[in-house]
Amino acid sequence: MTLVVGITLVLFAWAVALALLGLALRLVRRREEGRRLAVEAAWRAPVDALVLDGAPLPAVPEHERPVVLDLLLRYRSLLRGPEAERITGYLEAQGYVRNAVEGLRARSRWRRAESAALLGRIRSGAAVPALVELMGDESADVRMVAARSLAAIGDPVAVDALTAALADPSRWTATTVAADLVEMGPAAVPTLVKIAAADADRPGNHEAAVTAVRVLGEIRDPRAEPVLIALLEGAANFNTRARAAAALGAIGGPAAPPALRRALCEPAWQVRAQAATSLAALGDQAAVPDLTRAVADREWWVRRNCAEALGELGEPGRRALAELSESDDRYVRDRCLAVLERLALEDGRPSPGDEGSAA
Amino acid sequence: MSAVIDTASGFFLAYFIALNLVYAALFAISFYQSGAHMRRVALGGDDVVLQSPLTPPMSIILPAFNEEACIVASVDAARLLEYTELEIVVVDDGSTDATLARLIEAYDLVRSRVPVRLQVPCRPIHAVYVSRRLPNLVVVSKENGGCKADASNAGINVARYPLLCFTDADTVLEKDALLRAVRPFLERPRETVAVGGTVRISNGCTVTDGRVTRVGAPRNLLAAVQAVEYMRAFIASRTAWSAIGGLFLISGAFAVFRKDAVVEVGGHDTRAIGEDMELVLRVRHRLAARRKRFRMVFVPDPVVWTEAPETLKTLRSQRQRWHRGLLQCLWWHRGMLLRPSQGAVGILGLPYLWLFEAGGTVVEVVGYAMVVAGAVLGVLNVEFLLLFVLLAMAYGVALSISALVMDEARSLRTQSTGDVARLLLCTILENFGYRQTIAVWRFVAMFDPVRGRTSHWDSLPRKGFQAEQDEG
Repeated sequence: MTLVVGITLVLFAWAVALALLGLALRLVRRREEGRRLAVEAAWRAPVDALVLDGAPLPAVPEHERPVVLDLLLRYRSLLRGPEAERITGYLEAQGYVRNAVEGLRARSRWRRAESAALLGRIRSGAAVPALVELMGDESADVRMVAARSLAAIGDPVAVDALTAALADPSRWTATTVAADLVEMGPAAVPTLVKIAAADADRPGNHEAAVTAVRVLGEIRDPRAEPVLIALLEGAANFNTRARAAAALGAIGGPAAPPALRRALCEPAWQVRAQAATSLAALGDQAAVPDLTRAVADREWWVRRNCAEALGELGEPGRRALAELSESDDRYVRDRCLAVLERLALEDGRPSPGDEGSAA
Repeated sequence: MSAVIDTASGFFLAYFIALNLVYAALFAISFYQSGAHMRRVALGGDDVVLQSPLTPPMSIILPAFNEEACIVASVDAARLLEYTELEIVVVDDGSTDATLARLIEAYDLVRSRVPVRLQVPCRPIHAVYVSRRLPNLVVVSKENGGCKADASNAGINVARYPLLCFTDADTVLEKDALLRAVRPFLERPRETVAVGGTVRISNGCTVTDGRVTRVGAPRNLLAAVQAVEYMRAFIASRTAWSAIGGLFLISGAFAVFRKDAVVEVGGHDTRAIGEDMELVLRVRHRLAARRKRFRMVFVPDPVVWTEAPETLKTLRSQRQRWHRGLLQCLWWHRGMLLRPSQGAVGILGLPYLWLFEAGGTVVEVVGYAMVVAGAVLGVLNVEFLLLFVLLAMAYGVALSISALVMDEARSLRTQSTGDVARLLLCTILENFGYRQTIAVWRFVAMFDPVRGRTSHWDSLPRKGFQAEQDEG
């Protein structure tokens, strides 16, 4: 009985202590925020002088360093050119980069990640080798932050390491790297082309190649056209072929439309459906006869995409849709009517759907 | 008689200890997981989701039945969600009010001929509307199916994208909810089939233009107690079940599913009372039976705000429906119970639900009845009873306050000190009448099938977000 009374009292005490702790936390947070704002206001003018004129910053007391650092990093994220260089130079001279690089070797993965994030915000080229090495870290969180920091620094040396990370076992890291590579643009194309071509037919894992192809489609560099056509026509994995078709629709080039028209007859419906959409994106009116035939495809998505593609191909496409809307095939007829109706809506013309409008 | 009382007392004490040990374990796991999650969130990633070409497009499905008060606000809120490529599918489930008319007027809808591909069963679709103003909005008008499940199925048939977000027309999503929810799909795209998020009570908050602009505690006492209850459930329980791979419920107020998984199991079961839990269990059941590797994840960040009932009548209706839904799911999926092939749900999750959720209601109500009987017969051990009640209360309050403080520590959107104090007070008040009433309602609900009661759309009266804002 005494034990039960004791437990009850402990639980009540725990509840009261927690409630008080919660309220105290609020007060502390509010006070901290007030102090931070005051420190920031006091340092704004000297920081402005450093950034704009290169005037030396007075020694910052230890307890005010986090606030000043945060202020400098916010400026760094907004500025380019000599002002940005001054901030990075100051932080390098003050030992922030050296300390953060040391932090990359910490036992705690969070500490390593935070150090990597700080280096990305400082954007110091001196940190690139250490960050490239960090791309082999055991923690996916750390690898992701390292990738982001490398992309933020934007050093071409990092492209190989980033592109290699498209095969990272954590798809989150690959997702991050993909976004970073898109941001880096044409500088990443040669390595991406190499990855796409080399990995496409590696048994079991096509993800790196597929991701590389998707990134190439986003960057839209014409240098990728030959390898994408080769993948569209020769990759063993249907997903790689479909992604190559999508990328070709974004990039174009003289050889792309014929290759995509041929892809309308390929065995995998995913590739046929994507080829139709890409032909529309390229505005290839020569594809109208092929698309007209493919509207009767056995797969729903292929029929849909072909009809939509015809709608995007100007007058020849619309004429084909009008003819198909009288087809004996109900699926073909309904799909084409739906596209014609959408086009009429976009043009502000009365459409077959208007008579049924509840408006 | 004394022996009977002693045995009963021992049973109740043992049950109570077991239950609270489980709660404590779940809370400890949640505490650890939340810490790691917060540190991971601090490293950023929302911008990656927005920029990456790998982010899959998503269709958000808003089933609506007689939601004229808030349907336009809900669609406006969905339009403001941050996401790369989002399709909004509103399903009007044969509303008898002006839900469809409001939509037609607000978004300049016209009827479309787009053929609908029936991938999962649903009642006949009358018409599909597209908007002249919003190319990513589709409105489906269908025959009333009598339940949200049927409306959701119609939405699945119309949706174009590989990810489906199920929500309610009367909920408000945080603007970054989808960015956070899609992350598990990006991390492990082949294995992740469903993701859920935290649901919070919107009563007392200020909603402007489809956004919660000020977080506050409900002024209505009943809603405030529910706010504490929701916080405890989502913070101290779901996070832990997700971590151990035993997540058995993803709230229908906010759930993101891979479309192929939902289509594979035939969509929502329209006979289900708790269609959200039933879908989760059925997907698990089917995938585990096929020996597929998969996971369902709860992410604490994606917050959706929903109105809580403010009257006893509507609260009773809601809770009885939930309990009937729970019992139905447990019975339908009894084949998963204690099956190692069903993973943590079969070994831990379902036994927990049988013993402490379904069984807990019976134990609690029988306990109350025994107290009354003991008092009438004069054999009640008053000292033991008082101590037991105090212990239960102390534990409940400690758990609720722990959840509250955890939420306060990690939340980016703070409430006023007065609001926090009000919620703290509710952690105590809920022990005086609220919990007991809920237990009795749930107990009564167990006999509803015998009495021939069925469940239909949750027609709780809604004030609508505009009304809430005006009051604020």
